[in-house]
Amino acid sequence: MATRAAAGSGAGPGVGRPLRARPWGRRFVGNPMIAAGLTLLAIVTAAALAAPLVAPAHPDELSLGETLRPPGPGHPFGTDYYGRDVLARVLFGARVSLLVGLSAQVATLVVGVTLGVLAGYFGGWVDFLVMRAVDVFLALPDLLLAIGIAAALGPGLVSVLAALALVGWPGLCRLVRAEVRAVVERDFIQAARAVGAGRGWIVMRHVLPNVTAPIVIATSTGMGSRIMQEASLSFLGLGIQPPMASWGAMVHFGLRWLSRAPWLVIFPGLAIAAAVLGFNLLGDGLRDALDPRLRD
Amino acid sequence: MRMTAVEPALLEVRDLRAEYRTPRGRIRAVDGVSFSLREGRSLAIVGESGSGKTATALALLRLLPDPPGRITGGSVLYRGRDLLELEPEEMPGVRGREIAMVFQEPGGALNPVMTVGRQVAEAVLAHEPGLPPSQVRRRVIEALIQAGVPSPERRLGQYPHELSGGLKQRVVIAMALACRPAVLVADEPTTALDVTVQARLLDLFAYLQSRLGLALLLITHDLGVVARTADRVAVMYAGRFVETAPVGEFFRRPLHPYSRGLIEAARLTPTGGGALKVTEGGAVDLAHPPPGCRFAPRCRFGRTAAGRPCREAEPALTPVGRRGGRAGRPAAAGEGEVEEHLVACFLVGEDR
Repeated sequence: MATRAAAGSGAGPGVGRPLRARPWGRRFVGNPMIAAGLTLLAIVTAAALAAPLVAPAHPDELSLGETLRPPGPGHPFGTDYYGRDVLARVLFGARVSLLVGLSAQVATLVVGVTLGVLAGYFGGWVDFLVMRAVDVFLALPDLLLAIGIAAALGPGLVSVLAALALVGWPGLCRLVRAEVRAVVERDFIQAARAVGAGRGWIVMRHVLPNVTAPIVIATSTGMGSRIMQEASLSFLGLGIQPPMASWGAMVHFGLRWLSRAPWLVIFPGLAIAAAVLGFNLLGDGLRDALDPRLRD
Repeated sequence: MRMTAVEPALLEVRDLRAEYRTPRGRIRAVDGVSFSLREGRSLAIVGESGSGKTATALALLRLLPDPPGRITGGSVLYRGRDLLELEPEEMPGVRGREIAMVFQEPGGALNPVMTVGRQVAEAVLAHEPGLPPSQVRRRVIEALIQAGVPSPERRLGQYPHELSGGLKQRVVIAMALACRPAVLVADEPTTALDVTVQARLLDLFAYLQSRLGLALLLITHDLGVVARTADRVAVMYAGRFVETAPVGEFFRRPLHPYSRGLIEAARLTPTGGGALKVTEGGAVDLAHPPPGCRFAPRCRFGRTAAGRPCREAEPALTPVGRRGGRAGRPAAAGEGEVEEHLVACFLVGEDR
């Protein structure tokens, strides 16, 4: 445990200072939130990957003879108005949700981290401009902004990605900027300058590695938000368009049959909940594991 | 460049000025500092916190955080080239390669998520980007050996938190040495360490000076460190040098009241009626320095200095004759500083 004490004493401002003070594994094993989050995500991911193998039918296959069947043998989650198998659509919907969530989060990361590092490292007017842009974006409610963007660009996969990235970056940017500012104040940055390291080098080798922990945490919880937002946009008809299976769109189209066929809404709703919960649990667990201030 | 018989100084600082802009006003942290440094020699800048020692060191390398810091004048001639005239992009080529710096907190000066080997290697690669890994490794180990790091091979893969304070400082020194600089600026290099470790590091500095011909600029508040390491001393007060002298001469015959106060404080032998009278009071408010001599408000001779312009005019740094008489002309910046004893006080030469 000597290493642990050493890790604690070195903690400066900011999250997750000596990332490798202890072996990674030991900090994560035994954290119930991480375990639960990973389990949920493993199920969702497995569903997405194995969808073609385990689905009882093709997700777009119409079977007009058996519309709105309740869950039962042959159709464990029932069928919808066109006789499509709900289980198959939920499974394939996992692919859409994960892929859209992942791509949107990657876009968010690229924009948010780049601008956050620029603002935090250079300060001055760069910082001012970036942060005022952040303020403007954060002043608008997330969903309203996403709706506006998606509506302006017209529904579809690309506009969903654009909308989600534009909604997600300001929060991340602000977080990264704050972390970078804390790191830049530390002596080893000055020491790196004193041995002749240039700006780009310092950012890539000293600043970024010291802000990875909060970025990892924000990415996990961010994935949950992206999936939720994609579902919301699709639910409002501004996102993924039929016949593509998306959980949000399924809830949207199932809503009008809610009284006759509640399974059309319940199962995709549960899937959304499982994925979002998984990412949020993982994010919370990671924060506990990586943030020295929250460690005992 | 100058027509002198002596070899030209490696580093020559002339009338360096730097200030911090704060809401309270401009704080002139470095206010006309001049000195020169030759190969293999060492100068210690001594002074209390806030006297501008660190600002001087940072300004040399143009590392003063801007904002709020800013260099406002003077020149820093390194091998005849004025560093203050260089483009900002040229400075990384000077830092580390020509003039390297060691910081006060060895713990903070190392990146916690990088191994020792990589950090020292980084200093090498910053100046020789294409060097093959085997050679980088050789240079890293060489630097660690020079800095007196025991079993350097084993350290390469270790992280800073696995090392003791003294060892961390040696690694920081190794980083500074890795690019084979000609000048080493050490800002309070031993302050954060305990006394035995301190002594060994000071021996290391002496060794580096004699072995590598390194010129050393040592920033400290510890006169023990000065006596042990420096060839020459400059006492800094409120952004200015108030006395500079060869180290032996300085301890034998300190002339400025502030220098005397520092030495008495270090010896822990307060004179007369009370403890450490001279250094009573706090540092000067550099945003609004007092008129006249900046030390006057704290000077023990302040009351008896009747007839002297202590409160009206600022005394210039002036050479002192060998027998303690006050020479008549002020010293030209950077002139013949190797042997000379200079002091900025109206009372020097008086009988007191």
